Amino acid sequence: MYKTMEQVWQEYDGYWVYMVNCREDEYGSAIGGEVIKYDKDKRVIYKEIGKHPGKGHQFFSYIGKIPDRLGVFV
Amino acid sequence: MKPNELVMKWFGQSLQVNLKFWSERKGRFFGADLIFDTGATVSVISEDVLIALGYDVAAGGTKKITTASGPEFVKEVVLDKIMLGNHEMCNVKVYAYEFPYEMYTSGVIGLDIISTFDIHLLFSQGLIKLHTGGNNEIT
Repeated sequence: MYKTMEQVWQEYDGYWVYMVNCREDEYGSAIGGEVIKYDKDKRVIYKEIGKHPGKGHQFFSYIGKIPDRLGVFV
Repeated sequence: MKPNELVMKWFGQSLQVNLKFWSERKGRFFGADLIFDTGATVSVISEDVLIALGYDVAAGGTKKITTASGPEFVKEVVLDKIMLGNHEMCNVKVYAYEFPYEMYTSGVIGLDIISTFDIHLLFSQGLIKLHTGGNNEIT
């Protein structure tokens, strides 16, 4: 089922998601698609990459805010 | 698509942008949000992602990079094609690295890619403007 990114952010906060049949905005970013896998463990999502047919581009990313206790220094 | 613009996506205080990877094996683009980091000299992508896209991470050479936790060895991979906004780039060298589990991104776009453009960071508008004509001599 197609979901907008706003819906995805509401429903999958704190999860990694994998989406197919993505529609893009004018900047080329995914504005929605079908979530076919979600998990707290990104390795589960990575294993799904490329296993699913469909039109358009596919998208995978973490959804949600990075926990406050965690800073990022790269 | 609007020319030359990327949307800033904030994950906490981490700035990310959408990048699309072309997978020759899968015959399609795969998009992901990656950290946009002008402080990183090289671009580093999750090794698991590159393998899933069909790239042979063992075929290239290795490079020693310095991270906050000390030196690490990464593997050189040449991507067939990427899309950053509406800019298509071919044969882009990146490095495969196994990020820590609690790293909420699949990669870091560093200066080696960023500096091929002149950029404007428009924080008030949440946009990054890319213009061709940056420094192409960084390797």
